[in-house]
Amino acid sequence: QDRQVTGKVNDETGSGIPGANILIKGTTRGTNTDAEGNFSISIGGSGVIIVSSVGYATKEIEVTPAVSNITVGLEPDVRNLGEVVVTALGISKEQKTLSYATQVINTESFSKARELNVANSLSGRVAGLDIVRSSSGVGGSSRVVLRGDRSITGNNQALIVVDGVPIDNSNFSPGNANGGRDASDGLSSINPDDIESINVLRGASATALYGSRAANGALLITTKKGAVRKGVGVNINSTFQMEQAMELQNFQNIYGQGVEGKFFPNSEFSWGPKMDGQQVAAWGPDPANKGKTYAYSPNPNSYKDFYSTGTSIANSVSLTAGNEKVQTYFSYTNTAAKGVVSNNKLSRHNFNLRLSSQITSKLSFDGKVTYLSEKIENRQQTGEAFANLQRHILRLPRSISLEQAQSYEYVDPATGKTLQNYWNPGSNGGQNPYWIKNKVLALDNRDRIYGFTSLNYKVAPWLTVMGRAGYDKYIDKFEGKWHTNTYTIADFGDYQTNWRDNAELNLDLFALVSKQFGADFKLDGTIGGNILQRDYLNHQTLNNGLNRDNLFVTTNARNSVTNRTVTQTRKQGVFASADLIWKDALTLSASARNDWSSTLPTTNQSYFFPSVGAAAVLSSLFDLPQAISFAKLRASYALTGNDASPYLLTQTYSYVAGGNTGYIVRDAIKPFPDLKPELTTAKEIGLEAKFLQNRIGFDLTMYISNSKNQLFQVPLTNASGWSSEYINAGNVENKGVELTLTLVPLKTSDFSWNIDLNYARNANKLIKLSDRLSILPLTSDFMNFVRAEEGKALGQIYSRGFQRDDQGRIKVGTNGVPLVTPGTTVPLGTSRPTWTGGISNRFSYKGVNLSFLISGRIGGVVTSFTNAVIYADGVTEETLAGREGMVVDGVQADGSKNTVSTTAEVYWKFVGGRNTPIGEAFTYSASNIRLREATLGYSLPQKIVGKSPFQGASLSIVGRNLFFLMNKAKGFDPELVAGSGNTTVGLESFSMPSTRSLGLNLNLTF
Amino acid sequence: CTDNFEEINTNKTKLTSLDELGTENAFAAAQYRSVQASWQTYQSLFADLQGQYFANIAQNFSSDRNVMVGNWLNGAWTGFYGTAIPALLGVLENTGPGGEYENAGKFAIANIWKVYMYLPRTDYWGPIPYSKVGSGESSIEYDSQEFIYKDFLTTLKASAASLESLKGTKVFGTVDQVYAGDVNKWILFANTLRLRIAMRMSKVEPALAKTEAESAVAGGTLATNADDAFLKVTANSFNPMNQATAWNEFRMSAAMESVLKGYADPRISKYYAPIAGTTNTFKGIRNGYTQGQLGAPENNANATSNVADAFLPAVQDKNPFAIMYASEAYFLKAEGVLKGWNMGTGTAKEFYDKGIETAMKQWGIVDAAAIAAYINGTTPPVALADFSKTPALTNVPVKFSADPSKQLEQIITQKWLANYPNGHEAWAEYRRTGYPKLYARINSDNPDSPKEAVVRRTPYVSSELQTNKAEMDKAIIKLGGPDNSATRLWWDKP
Repeated sequence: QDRQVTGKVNDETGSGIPGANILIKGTTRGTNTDAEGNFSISIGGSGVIIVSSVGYATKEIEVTPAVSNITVGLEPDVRNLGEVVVTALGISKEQKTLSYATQVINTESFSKARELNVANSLSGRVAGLDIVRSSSGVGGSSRVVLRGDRSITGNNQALIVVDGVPIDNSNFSPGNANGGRDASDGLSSINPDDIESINVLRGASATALYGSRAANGALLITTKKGAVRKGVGVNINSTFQMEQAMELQNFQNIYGQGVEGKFFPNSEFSWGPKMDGQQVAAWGPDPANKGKTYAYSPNPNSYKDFYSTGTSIANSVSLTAGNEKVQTYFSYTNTAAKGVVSNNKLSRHNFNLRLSSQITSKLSFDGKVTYLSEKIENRQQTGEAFANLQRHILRLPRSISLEQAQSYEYVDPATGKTLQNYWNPGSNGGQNPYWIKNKVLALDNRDRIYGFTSLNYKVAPWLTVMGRAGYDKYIDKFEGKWHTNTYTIADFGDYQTNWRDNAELNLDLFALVSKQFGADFKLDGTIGGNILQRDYLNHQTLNNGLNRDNLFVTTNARNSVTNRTVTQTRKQGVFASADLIWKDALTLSASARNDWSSTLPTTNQSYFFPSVGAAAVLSSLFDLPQAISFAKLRASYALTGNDASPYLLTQTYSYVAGGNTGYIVRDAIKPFPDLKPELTTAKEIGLEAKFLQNRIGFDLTMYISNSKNQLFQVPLTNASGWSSEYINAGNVENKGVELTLTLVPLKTSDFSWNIDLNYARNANKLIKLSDRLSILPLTSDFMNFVRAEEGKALGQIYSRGFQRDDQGRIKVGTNGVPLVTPGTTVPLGTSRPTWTGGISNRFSYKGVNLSFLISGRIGGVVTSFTNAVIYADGVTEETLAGREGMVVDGVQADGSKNTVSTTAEVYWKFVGGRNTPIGEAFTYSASNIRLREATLGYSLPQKIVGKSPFQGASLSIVGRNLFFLMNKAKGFDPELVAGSGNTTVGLESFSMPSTRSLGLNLNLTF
Repeated sequence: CTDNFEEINTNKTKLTSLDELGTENAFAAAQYRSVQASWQTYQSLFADLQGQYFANIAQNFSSDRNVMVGNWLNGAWTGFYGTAIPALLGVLENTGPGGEYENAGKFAIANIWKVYMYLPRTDYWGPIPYSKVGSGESSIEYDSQEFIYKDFLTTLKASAASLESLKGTKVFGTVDQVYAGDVNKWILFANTLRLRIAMRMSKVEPALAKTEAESAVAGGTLATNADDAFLKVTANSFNPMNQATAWNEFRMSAAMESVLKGYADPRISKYYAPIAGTTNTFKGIRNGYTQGQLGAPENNANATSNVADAFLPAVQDKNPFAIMYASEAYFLKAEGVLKGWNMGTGTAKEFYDKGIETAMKQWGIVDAAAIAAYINGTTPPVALADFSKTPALTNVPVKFSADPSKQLEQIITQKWLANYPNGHEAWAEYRRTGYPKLYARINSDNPDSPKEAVVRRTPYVSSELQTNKAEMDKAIIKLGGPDNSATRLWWDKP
């Protein structure tokens, strides 16, 4: 017979701990304390209640049938030794029984120092997590990779799991250096206000139960839920942040528009004469300017002044209420943000409703529905796209003022048409930046609903059966309006629409077993099955020009093209796991899963993968010196498999419009009827220890993983009749070390200082590609050639380089300009970092909290296509030297020192420029260290709050991305790259400026 | 339960096989894609500039200074082999002997088109993959140009012969965007193409060239403008040239200006547009200016002639793409007569004059007196008042000279004028004959082909280096010289 147990959780000072986790051991049944620390939970007769909260040592309380009210005092604990953590499938386990590495993230500041994509809040906080972000303005996507890249061409991002159910984190259009439109990702849909905690499962061992999807590790996000409490708990959280562009480039202010030292009003370059305020002819086709002149003078602030101050306002209200039968949590968050490009705006509404109910003593229900509605105006194009605004503002000739450029349109008297006013009318590649800003418009809408319902039935004290249905569906709508006379890309204007509908259904049925055998042995087990179905639809319309100018409807198309893609995949799996625990000190774990995937051929449809692990709490097994409070050793091994993309097995033909009755073309990928699933093996060992009453603690992990049998596309010579085929091959190894360190250097009753440090080093190596080839080209653009090469780390970037003699000196041609290597064959390095780390300091004195996070990403290279182009344009200080003549430091063909003179203009146009830049000259170390986040907060003391209607009130000053302590890249932020795909990590190409943000946060509880 | 997995894993937006109707649509795709594939980075940025129909004024484009821009050539190669050829392969496989939808007529026409598709490609690179194409193997042999040319001749001859029995019928029907399935015209087209190919190899294989040319002429060649081969374009399959002119980088070449003005050629306004703000002022521009020189006022986009309105994007769905003109057949015959070949009834002058007349009529210039006046014109090309103070291109007038040493130049110069905008023929015939006497480039940024030199071929491409290197290396041996723009092709003898 179930009954309610109520209680209160207090901290060491006796005041209640809000939001503490209450869990009935061996079940998934749990709740949280309310704002005062009170809770109520139903329990079947007797049992063990596990009470945990971030920052405190977890306690287990034996509840006998006689007890109905308990008070639990938690002791502060930096490392949360007995902490219960959420593991795969949402099953809670005691941290000390785990045979693999996990890291619980302190998410406290996520809703204060906010990021529009919560992924970015994780930067610098998680050992082994590498994040780079696409440069597309507000609401862009980020790439989240744990323990290095495993897959040569497939997905490398961590699986995102919310309350036990995976959600889709695809980015269908991650962008590349040639340009594109970022299409956001799944993580950006998560509202930081609803996050209770995040647990990071780094390796395949931890995630084997999720099956193939989680080979890249997982972020398990637990969201808030209701609690038993008196009345309704209300929390209001408001943040206002301002964002400012940093100017990292050094623009020159001496020479203006023109070439070869001469002024031309139609030049796109800044190789003209010195700007001395002389009168020069006005530019552009606008008849109003015909015959006019203006002063030819520098505009030192044109880049900075082009961008305005961005703002971000987030207001959130949450309500919690609950009695013994039903607990509810509801929240609503409104986010309104404006980027540094003033018409780049985001508006987002998050609704979240969670209901938990104890229907009968044996049957409980838990369910959640989250709805997001998001609108993003004018998400910025990226890379080399002619519609990328950044490209045009960076290239602005130095003598043209923003004020002049702002007259970006005029009415042609002959035709009455509104046309672009630009210094080089009709340019193939140049545009007036204000025209692009105001006349190439984009609107993205996302509606997303996700959530789950679950039923929990307690069959016996030791056996619980759970059924759960999780659903994640989103619809992304895009509309692009390109005005007539957008040179070369939309001379006749354009209107594009896109509709993307993605749905994922997860059905789980499993049984949880928790049984004690005698005094010493305990078995925790799971057995169950999962069905995953994914449905994707993409519908695109392209007008390819407008018949009537600037009328943006699909019927006004010069050449209407519609594309519709539909894919469907299904995967079925059965799984089982067991933890055998001896005396709470030694745990042996094993799991197994078998999946069947619709994307694989019948003969290879089924694949099996097991895992094993062990954890030994040394401090319980042996008598250790007093100074060692806790020590645990763990080891694990896992195998995971992965299926393929759909429709690779048989030849297909496409029908497209054209000619008299249409064209049919054979699709260019050769079918692969024998494909096999990919396999990843992962091994890890770890040591956790605590010293001096937990004042010092560390967690050290070493791991190695090998991903074999990978499915990837290799190019075929087109003359074969196909342009590529899939093969199963490869072996990518990731070896690394992760360390987290916690220190409490000072702690008094009023003052505390906590340090969290994380460090991770990963060595990635493509041990074997295939017998057929040792180099796989992945992507190429005007400058970079990214390839996978046997024996090297993934992410190798190649480009053209300088020809050098055997002493490494640059060879110079008879014209005094360096000789360039034929082809993009010079290795520039890998784009992946050698190590990443972060250090967070938190100080607390009475009600005042100060914290700051410094993070570093060290090693790897980044290339800048921006610099290649704008140096050739002559807009930066680097192009000042040698304008009147220069001799390149190098040698002539006969080995003699070069004495042939050239000019900076000839040199930079040869070395840089758009079409054939020498990437070697524009490659930089990507190492950087920055002050990622700082917050200063004040919580009103209880004696003041007590007299107010509030139960708690705090005010914080927050800052993100404040400044670089070190940045080896020249003129840009190396973490703002062309896109969030595998191959764009080290490729900077006309990024938005890096921005710093500062703001205020107010949090009220009543 | 995995019973429905196969159904789930079937792509609902694709076809799973090429049926009989699909085979016809595949032929349509092969026709269109063979001219459309990478047109800009293939024809426009190389042949059209090397044949000097146009100069390119895009400041950052270097192929007009003889730079063999690798990305562009790679796109040209992969566009052809990757998108045009697979469509053709399906047609040949399905309609050929033993094919599922065997059809001698369709097979013959597809083969004629195959030769048309491959000819400019081998004239770009020399040895290329040809006979082994489509095997699905991961390396594909390059055939020597000699092999390819001889196979062209055999294929055309056999295909025309196989169409003889179908004379008067229609094959492919309306899906054929060139002749709407008219077998008679396909025979004429095959023979004219064979004559073109025979002429191209006349220096290296004079005897075979003569035999083949005479046989082709005997079979009948394109005779009137009603026989002209144009590829129909539609709202869903544009003329790629009209599409590309949106970039506003084409300008009348100085060579064209000198000749058209010198001959008072009425086609000047059919080919090019008057400069901005005028109704009848045409200005060309030299090939190979630097970015700085292009900045000069005389070289400004508005101070030089763009293409005529017929080639602008506004009519990209209406202006049919030129494949081959009847006038070319006459100029080929005129040259054949000079070589002593039996080209049927007619002297070199008669064929030459007939070629000019046919070409004029093609552009709507039908007034007999005007045509006669042009044919008898004695004025030479003119010097230009341009940025480079360019002298006249040459001194030959239109009127056919009695001096045999001038006749070839006249024939090729007129063929060059008539073949506009078919840059492939312009460049190939310039390499073969040295005519018309095109201007040297103002600058070259390519040490292999200095500004006075003729670019003789394009280098092999990076995708082949990555995917088919061993065969490419063997091809360079077959090429007989370094893989650069200075090496002459098999038929290209000094």
